[in-house]
Amino acid sequence: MNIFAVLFSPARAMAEIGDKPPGAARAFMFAAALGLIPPVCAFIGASNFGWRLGVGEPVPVSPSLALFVSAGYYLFLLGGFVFAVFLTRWMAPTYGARGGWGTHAAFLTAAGSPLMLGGLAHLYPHLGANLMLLCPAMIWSAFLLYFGLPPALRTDADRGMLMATSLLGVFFVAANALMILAMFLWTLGAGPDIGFNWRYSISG
Amino acid sequence: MSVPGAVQYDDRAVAPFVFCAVMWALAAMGAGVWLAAEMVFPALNFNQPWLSFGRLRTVHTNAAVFGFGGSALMAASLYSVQRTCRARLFMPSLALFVFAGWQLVLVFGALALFSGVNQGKEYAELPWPVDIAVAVVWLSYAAVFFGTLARRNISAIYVSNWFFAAFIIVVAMLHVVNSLAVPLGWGTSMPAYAGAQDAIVQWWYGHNAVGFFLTGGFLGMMYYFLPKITGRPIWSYRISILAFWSFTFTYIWAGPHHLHYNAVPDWVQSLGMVMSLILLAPSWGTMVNGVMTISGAWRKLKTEPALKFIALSLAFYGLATFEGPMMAVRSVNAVSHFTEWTIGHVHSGALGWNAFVAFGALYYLAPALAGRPLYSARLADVHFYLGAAGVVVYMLAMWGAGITQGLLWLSLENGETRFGFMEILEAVAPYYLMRLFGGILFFTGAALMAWNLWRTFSPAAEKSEESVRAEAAA
Repeated sequence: MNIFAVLFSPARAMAEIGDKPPGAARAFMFAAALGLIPPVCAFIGASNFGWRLGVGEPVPVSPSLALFVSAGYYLFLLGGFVFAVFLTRWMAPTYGARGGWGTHAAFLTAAGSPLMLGGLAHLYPHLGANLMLLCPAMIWSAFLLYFGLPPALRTDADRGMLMATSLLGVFFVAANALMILAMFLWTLGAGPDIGFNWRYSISG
Repeated sequence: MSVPGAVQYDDRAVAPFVFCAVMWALAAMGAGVWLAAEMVFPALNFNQPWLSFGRLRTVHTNAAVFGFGGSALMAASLYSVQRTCRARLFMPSLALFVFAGWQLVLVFGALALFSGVNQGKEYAELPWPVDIAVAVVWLSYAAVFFGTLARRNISAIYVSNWFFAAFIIVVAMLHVVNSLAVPLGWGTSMPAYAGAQDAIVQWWYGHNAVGFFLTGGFLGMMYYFLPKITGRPIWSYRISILAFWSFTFTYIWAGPHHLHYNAVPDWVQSLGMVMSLILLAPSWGTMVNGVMTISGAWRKLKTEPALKFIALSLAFYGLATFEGPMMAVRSVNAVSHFTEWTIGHVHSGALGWNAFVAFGALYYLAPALAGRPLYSARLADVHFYLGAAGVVVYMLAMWGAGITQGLLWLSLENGETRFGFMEILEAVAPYYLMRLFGGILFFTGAALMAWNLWRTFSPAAEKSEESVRAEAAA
């Protein structure tokens, strides 16, 4: 799979995934490599610049903590990707979508590539700056999801639209769950010390 | 309007409700965009008290929930109850009174709020004389709906009517109990309950206004229009009935999650949290039911613009009903409470679910009532993409702002708050700009819909090429 073709000529790239899908192992390896971008950038950004919350001095993050958080981030991304591949395979019969593991993995990698490249924003770990870059990346990924699904998974455009909407719903819930989990862990005392009054949530 | 068969349906109150729903949508969303702009450029209140955030915000919420949502719900329920019961509307002149009364109540309510007359209870701000008028109009609405249900020519009561019935009964109960007050003058009153009891009653009302007005009523709408548009029965009727009863039983207990870490007993807070978590099951049961009904009717997407809106509304329904219970967990609520995250949650539900399912109903109702095809399906498509982009941008902006606020507010240094009010406000300012952008996108889409429906209704309007083709094809 050619990442430049996905970004600059998505119609051709998605049709190619449908016509000549890569093998499952190759597709998963490619996704695993692409998925390294956000955690590696997060590690470099956090260990060099600390976390910026938009106010006050940056919160220093030690290299060992940055490595721990980045490794967890990568495992989450990989787990999420495998979950998404199983999900699209499970949904496929309902929406008349075709293709094996390789096709589905390649399609999801292609649709998610703007978001993974948007992970470059983690080099400067400022929440606002990250959101400013990741939002357009997310819209781009959503575009690839909606318009790439029918040719890549060889289904009708209308059924593809419904399947993409269902997937989008699940992805939003997953993003929301991740955010909630992060807050849950933070209020329990995990994460860097920003003087967060975590006892507030325990004692009431 | 006449339909084939013996029963003559009476839609004289439905069409004006559709018209007013669109007008209130524009008013509410216009006010929302103005408020979002005030958060970025505070000078936009022009030092006028009626344009200040505090007053305009209550007008925005009342116009959105009771103006847009209420009018759309009344239009949908009065239209669908006749078709699902195969019976003419009970007391059609009373239905016209309900229409006129509801609009008058809304206008007087908005004037009161603009002039600063406010009971100080969220979503129940209207002064007591307006509250009494609301109760009279609502009971008249109940009489029309249940009267029609009583004269039905089909023995079974279709599931949409179960939801509409729960919506009407519970909202009446909530409104009367929460509005009990001792009048001190025409615009002022003293609540009947004191202190923490008043807070518990208020959030019993507040959360169930979300539950039975914005969820129960809109589920009734979804359960009627989805099978109607797709031409297929609901995927699982059994799930819909099961979801109805579990939803009705559970929702009523969830209100105290609005009062976490407040002066109400711990066990009340815990009960609210647990009931909120249980709510996930009926909510997702309904979502799966809707998604599976649509998935078998994908061919209709080409011919029915309304279907896209309902399909996406179900995705946002799934998101909002997942996020809500999670935010009710006390350790998550410690961060999210009072922050913009709550605003984001409310809007992913109100725009993504309520407005989208209402748009779907309006795109179905307008051509059905006008007796001609929609003026432009292409314009409806543009509306769909603008609305979807708008709600996503809005939601993400508020997630970012909310987490930033939550963490910074709770950060301490030597036992004192670490960051000042202005510092935190500056930190979230970029998100406010992003929210404004999302709001403008959503409002533009709604304005396109208003134009599209106006052209559909207007007999003198020149027909679009699309509608001519659609008529020829029919």
